[in-house]
Amino acid sequence: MARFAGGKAPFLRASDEKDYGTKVMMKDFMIALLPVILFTWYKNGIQVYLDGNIGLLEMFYPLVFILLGGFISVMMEGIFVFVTNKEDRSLKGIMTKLSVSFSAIPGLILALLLPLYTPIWVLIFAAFIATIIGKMIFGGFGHNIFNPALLGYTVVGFTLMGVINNAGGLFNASEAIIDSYAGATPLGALASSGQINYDILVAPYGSLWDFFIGTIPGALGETSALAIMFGGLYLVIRKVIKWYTPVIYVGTVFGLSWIIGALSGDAGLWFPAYSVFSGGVMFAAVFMATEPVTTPTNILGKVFFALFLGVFTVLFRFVGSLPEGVATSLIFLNIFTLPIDKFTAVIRTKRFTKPGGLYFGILTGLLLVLAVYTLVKAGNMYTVYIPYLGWVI
Amino acid sequence: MKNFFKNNSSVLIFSLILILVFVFGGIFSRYMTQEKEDFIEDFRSQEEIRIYYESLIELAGKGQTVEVFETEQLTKEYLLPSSETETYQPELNEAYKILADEIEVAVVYVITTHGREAGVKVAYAIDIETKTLIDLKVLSNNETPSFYSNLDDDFFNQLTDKTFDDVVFTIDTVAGATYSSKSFDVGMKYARELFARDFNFEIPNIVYTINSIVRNFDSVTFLTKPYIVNITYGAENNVLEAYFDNEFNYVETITGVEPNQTYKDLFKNDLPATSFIDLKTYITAYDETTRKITIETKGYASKPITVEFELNEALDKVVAMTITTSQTYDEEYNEGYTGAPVPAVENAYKDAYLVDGTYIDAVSSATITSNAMIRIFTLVDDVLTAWNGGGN
Repeated sequence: MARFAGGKAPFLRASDEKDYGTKVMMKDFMIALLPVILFTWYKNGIQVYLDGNIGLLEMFYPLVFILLGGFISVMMEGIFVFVTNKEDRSLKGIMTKLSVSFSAIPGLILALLLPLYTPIWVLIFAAFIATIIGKMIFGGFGHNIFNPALLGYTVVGFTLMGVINNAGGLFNASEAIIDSYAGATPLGALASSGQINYDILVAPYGSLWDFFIGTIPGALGETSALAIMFGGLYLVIRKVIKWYTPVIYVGTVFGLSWIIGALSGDAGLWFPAYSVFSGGVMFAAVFMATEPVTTPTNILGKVFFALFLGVFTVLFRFVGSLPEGVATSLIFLNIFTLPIDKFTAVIRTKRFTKPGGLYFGILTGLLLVLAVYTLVKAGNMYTVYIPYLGWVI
Repeated sequence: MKNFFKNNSSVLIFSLILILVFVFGGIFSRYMTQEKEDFIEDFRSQEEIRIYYESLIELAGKGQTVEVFETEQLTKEYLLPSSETETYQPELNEAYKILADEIEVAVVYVITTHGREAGVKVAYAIDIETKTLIDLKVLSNNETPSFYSNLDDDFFNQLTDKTFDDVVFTIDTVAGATYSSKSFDVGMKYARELFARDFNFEIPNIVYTINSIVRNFDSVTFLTKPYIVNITYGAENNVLEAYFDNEFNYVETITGVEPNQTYKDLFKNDLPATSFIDLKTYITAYDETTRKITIETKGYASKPITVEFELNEALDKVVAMTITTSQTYDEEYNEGYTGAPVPAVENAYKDAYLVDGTYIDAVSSATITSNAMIRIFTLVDDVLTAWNGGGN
């Protein structure tokens, strides 16, 4: 098994068998996105229309925006294929290639990661980064290092978020008029207040039930944990993803957040629940941390990847200056997918004998150091004094 | 050219589609943004109106909905608080009807009147059924805060649940905020006039005529009954001659039929505005033993000028006087006074009067103080003349 560890993923699928090929996987992936897309449309379009706050044309905008994300991706990939493939530039030839590279998926996911009022030209730019830079430059489907959608989102997030906010940002028309939101998402409220306080972080948005259902402000596809879980459940049943990757990732974020909450003097379960239901944790857990190309392929690798992802998410979220943390940690970890894959493959085959034990020790040690560092730094952030660990680190 | 399009058709189609998405998507995005901004702006302004309407309902204490009441300004002049002659027109800014189950239950007039400064904007809520001023809410004013703050709850309580059927429809002013007080008095009265016009309410009006006011110089009763007033009142034209005190309260009937309390209140309200005699100057004390009579009047400053005259034994001449004053001549005419400091003007009048009973001409740039002194001497001379045909 170890000799396959450095190969291009996915390779553990019996791809020639009926109902098991990557084509089926991607179809399942798109089906799994459906509950998220439909909920997004309902929350940002239909419900707002029913509230009387937007017109009919605006009601369809969320749906148009998401589908446009996929469509733009396809178009860009088509142009790229035309430019690079001189042998067959016919429309039919290009369409054949596009049909096996699942070109719509990065665009769809990208659109779901972005705020509702993202200008279309920003979406086009992000789709260019995602499809051309993130995917096609590396050789296309199965060869990319970074999650394409995530790369597009991250670039736009770092460069054009001001433009998006000026165009209307995250809040749909119904949310924009709710005074208690004060123009901030739940994570934005944490970043601006710096307090672990239910009345500041949860109460203005309703209750944790609203966080779970998804009727809170946030990027298009990330608010509804319920819809994401439906999609995730479908993918697990269809064996497209492994259940333990999202569970370990969400569990790590949950656990670390719980400890941070406890260190700040509030050991309630509401804070870790708030932490996993706000922002993109759930969406990333199901649709991005499980992505077969840019994440480790073996079980132990997936476990370590999810653990590291959880630690980095909490680290970036509570210690860094960005309120979210999910995208940054995922992009960052994409770089280390290959080493993690290799290390864990060796561990699996050599067990704890040399060098398996060493690799295990390195990974576990790194993980522990990072986790403790995160807790200490986050603890300091929330004015909790941890004398010994704080002194050491 | 044909070959070019044939060879590149696919990329041209893709590119064209992307360009179209860029253009029309951009328009769609911009439309979305604009619609959202318009919606929020519209919502905020409607929210402001909603909150304002809720405050009006709360003010009226009844009803569920508010609708704009299209009514017009009523031409009616009132005295400026700071003047006895100049008048102004209050401004009707807005009017609303408060409805309960689609029935009009109250009306709110927003009226701007004049206090110490212009711009006392107040909402007056009126119960349509009981024809009562329910309550008022001050929306804005430009009054001097140190004066305006003297208007306490007791003052504003006068303005709540005040029936329009009162013949004497007025409020007591507050010392230290007299002008501001008057702005509410005028606003309230103007609201009643508007209500009378808009809702066919008849303002109670009792006809009477003040025929004369003279001073009572009777040496026994002049302090407690300083004014003798002759009035014709009522449907039967009753002629009344009665004593009134310095506050214009009815004291005692001399001839005629004693009026009821409504008339007494009316007389008290209206007598100070009459001009039969100088009502600003009055006797406040007399000591028979020391033969000292005290007279008071208002000059320029808010505190009155008080002069204590000492009479001779025959009670026909002033032999000495003590003046208590706190005038500030400088402010009377914008620092135009250049003479000796206070109480130079008062002393000049005193000296001249004690010498030969004359009143000197009004001192330039201190004429208000001068006239006050002249009024005091005139009154003391009237007393001396009435008592013993005397006078300085």
